Amino acid sequence: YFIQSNLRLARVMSTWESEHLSQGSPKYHISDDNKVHIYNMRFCPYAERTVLVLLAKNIPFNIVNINLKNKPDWFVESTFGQVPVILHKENIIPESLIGCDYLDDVFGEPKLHPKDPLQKALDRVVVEKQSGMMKFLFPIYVKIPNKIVCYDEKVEMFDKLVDYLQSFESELGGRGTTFLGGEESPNMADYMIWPFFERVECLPKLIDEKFTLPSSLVHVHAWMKAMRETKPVKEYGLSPERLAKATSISMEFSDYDKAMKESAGL
Amino acid sequence: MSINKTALLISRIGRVMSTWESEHLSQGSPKFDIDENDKVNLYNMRFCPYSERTVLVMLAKNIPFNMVNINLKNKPDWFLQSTPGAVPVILHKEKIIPDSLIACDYLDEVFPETKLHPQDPSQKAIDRVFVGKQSSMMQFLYPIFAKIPDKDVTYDEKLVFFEKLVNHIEGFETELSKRGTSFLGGKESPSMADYMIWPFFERVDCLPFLIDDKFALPSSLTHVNAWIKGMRETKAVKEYGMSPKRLAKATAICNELADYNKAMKETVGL
Repeated sequence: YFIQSNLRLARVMSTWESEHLSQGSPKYHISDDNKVHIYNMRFCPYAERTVLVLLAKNIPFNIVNINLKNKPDWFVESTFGQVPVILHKENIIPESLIGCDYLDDVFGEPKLHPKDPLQKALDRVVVEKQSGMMKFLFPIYVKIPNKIVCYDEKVEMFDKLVDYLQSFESELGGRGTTFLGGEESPNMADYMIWPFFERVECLPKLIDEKFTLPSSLVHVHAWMKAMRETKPVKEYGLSPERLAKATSISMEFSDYDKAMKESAGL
Repeated sequence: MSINKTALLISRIGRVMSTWESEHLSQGSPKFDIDENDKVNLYNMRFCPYSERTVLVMLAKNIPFNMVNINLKNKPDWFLQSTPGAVPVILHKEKIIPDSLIACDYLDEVFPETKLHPQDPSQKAIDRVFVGKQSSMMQFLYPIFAKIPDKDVTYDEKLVFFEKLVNHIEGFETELSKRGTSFLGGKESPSMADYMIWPFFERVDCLPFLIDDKFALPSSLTHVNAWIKGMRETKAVKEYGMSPKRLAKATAICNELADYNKAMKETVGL
């Protein structure tokens, strides 16, 4: 079982470090009907949500990385042109939150959404709220076409980001558990929010120490540490060093494959 | 239905209807007395399409509810302190649930009568994706019917938006045609997706009355036009939806005077 499970992991891992398919790439052939296939981009936080859920639920899957800077025609024609997209049986499901909900509905244990509909709704509200951190985070770490965000603007954005994260600090404090999902393990809300914090965590390495989350965000820090110890994040998550290096390369060369290869092992 | 049941039903509808035409509460209004037990409370605004989604679901599922209209131009402090500050907000069992889609999903899960989401998880996911896609029609619709502060949208600009709107609605035409049923939910009755999308079309439907005939949906959109007609006949839309004439007049008053109560009172009966 140990060997099988490591082989499986090795096989899957080899797909998620695979080349991002571009214009002119032959159409990806979906061979295994019961498996879940996902159109992905190695560094996309939204696509990461889906991978974390697949890993947390032990669902067998294949990843197809897509070069979002130069998309294959067959990708654009069969989807809305963004990742993630789940392909399962005849179903094509874009949108990370909808895709993740679908996986939780269709596949068994562990169920990631709370059983109680009220708690599930409250968790979804937290996810919506925390997803809003991207409006401050995005201008700090991404290169926006035709728009230069200067250092001082980034510092200002970071201040607003830290302010915004007070709400997550309060939420975690209020629940009194390590994860939103409880003491034992993350739930759907934890996995939906994690990818943003993976980006937050790389900022000191990407820019400088000014972009470190203050230690006063006690619960957030504890949560991040605990999330790093979970199986899905250990397997698929990117270390701050790797993400920082990959982000720099992506920003400079718009080349995800180069970013992936030259940051491997960090 | 027995006479007693009918009387009860009429009086219930009457009681609920009287709350949804009630005054929009402003700064200084005393805090609304919420039912903290099992009844659903809703913070609403009579003309908000997102809030309307939640009302339609509650009517379709026969969920008893209290409604409180909120003056979004001058919000009460108690509203701002206990919610993220927009409608709809559901208050149930002492918890608050903002966001129309999350609230509607919650109601469908908790209240068993008339499940609105499809049973099949893949159909449910596909419907949710579709609702997301249709909701983006607001980017073209909003500049046509709403008054945007500090920004005048000219008649010609509205025409351009309307063209883009019609283009966007082609997607809905295609989907309805593909499904081959009166509603997205099937032949019989609307599903969650139908109710989530309806409020936008209620606004589209009033444009010829609000502006002029150039803003009428082309008759070539045969499935969409049939769907609009079918939705107008449903219980939920009949009870809460507004006629094109009423919505047009109310919108004009809101745009000019920013007064929801006036808009409500002066359009009653249209």
